[in-house]
Amino acid sequence: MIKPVQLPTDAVLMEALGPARARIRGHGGEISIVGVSEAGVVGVQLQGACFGCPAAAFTFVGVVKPALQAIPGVTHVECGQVNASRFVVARIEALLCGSSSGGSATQGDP
Amino acid sequence: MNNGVAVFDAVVHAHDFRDQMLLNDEARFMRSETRNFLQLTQVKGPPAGFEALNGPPDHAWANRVLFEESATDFAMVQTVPLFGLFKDGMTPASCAYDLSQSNPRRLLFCGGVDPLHQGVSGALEEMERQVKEWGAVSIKFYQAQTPKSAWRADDEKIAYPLFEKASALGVKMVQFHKGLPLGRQRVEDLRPNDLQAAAYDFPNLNFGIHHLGDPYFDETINIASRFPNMYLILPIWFQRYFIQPMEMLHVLGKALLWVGENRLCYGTDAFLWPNLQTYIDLWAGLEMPELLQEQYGYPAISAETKRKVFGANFADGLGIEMDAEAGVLRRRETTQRLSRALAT
Repeated sequence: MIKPVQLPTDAVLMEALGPARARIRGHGGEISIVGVSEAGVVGVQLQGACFGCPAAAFTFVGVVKPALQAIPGVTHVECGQVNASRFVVARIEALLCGSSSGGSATQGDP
Repeated sequence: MNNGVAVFDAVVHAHDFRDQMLLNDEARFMRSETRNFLQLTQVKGPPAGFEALNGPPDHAWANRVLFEESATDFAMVQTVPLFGLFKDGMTPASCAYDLSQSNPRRLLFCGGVDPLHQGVSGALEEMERQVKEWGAVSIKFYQAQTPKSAWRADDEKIAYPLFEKASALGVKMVQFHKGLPLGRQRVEDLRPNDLQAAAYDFPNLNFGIHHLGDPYFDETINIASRFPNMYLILPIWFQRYFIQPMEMLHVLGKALLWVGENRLCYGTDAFLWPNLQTYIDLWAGLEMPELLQEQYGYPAISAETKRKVFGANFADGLGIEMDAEAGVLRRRETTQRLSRALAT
């Protein structure tokens, strides 16, 4: 029997982001939840010093994305501000997350 | 439309290089250098339009070049308020307006003033006249009038009144020629750095930066990446691509990586280069080589990226909605001025 998966609320998502957010805010940055699709895709937005930051891909792929993807019901995390190539995303995942999608990871863009 | 994608050329001109319009030797030098640059660009690119150095374009010819010989749907005819070299500016506002009126459904008028040449009060009056009488949708600035005469966009006495006036008139985007001196003005007078404070102090006004600030590419891209009200308008990139394809792929790649796909705008600087379909085909078929994606992190150029750059971004920055299938532009906030400007 397939159990329906409950979509996480914003409160749950923000709680999961707590430690990451504390680090991001320490640099003058901020992160917010844009929304959650019915398919469990979470959209996030980088703000403050994170906006236009050259290390935004690192922050998103290495810190924000893993924190949110650990939540049941979250199938994917997207950030339209991260434009780095799929190769970059794969490299960061391999470095920081111990996994690599072999260059097949989607970009930050939906 | 080009294969179903609307094409909005952000910048075409009606330059007036006729002898009687040139003020000095600097202008003659500039015309000569422009001729040399045209010759260079056509070595590897499409033929240049040397006839544009003779005088303002014939309106029927210009419309044919834009709308019959290429898939362009709309274009903005931009004034070039360079008064230090030309009697009425390099593209006089009247020439730009006249051309726009030859096809007002598809050609938008961009005015232009200069607070040094006209004085701040005179520039403000002229802005108001261009918007109210001629339906200017945007205003263009050229800050380095001579090697010894230039103004900064963060000058609160000279520049800020212009931005306040633009906002009051309902103009959503002001535009700046950046880098690429048209003559022997100091290139540093055309650096993009002065736009930072202006964009910060006028967050509801969009700032269009032309030519990617050539040669200040990295500064321009860095600045635009941090200010969401800045748009990068691409003319000369297309011409230079044929001369330096790899260099231009790097510049484009950096812009897409750091600024993203939502604030880059297609533009050709016609009619110095009248073979516009060449540039449309180039952009429609352009791919970011995987080597550059892998080694430099540049994103792939998706169909959605191409659609946005081809016109949606520029329309968005201007506060305009495009309906290319119907062949009309609509202002998001209808005003009397815009109803008039965009009337059929």
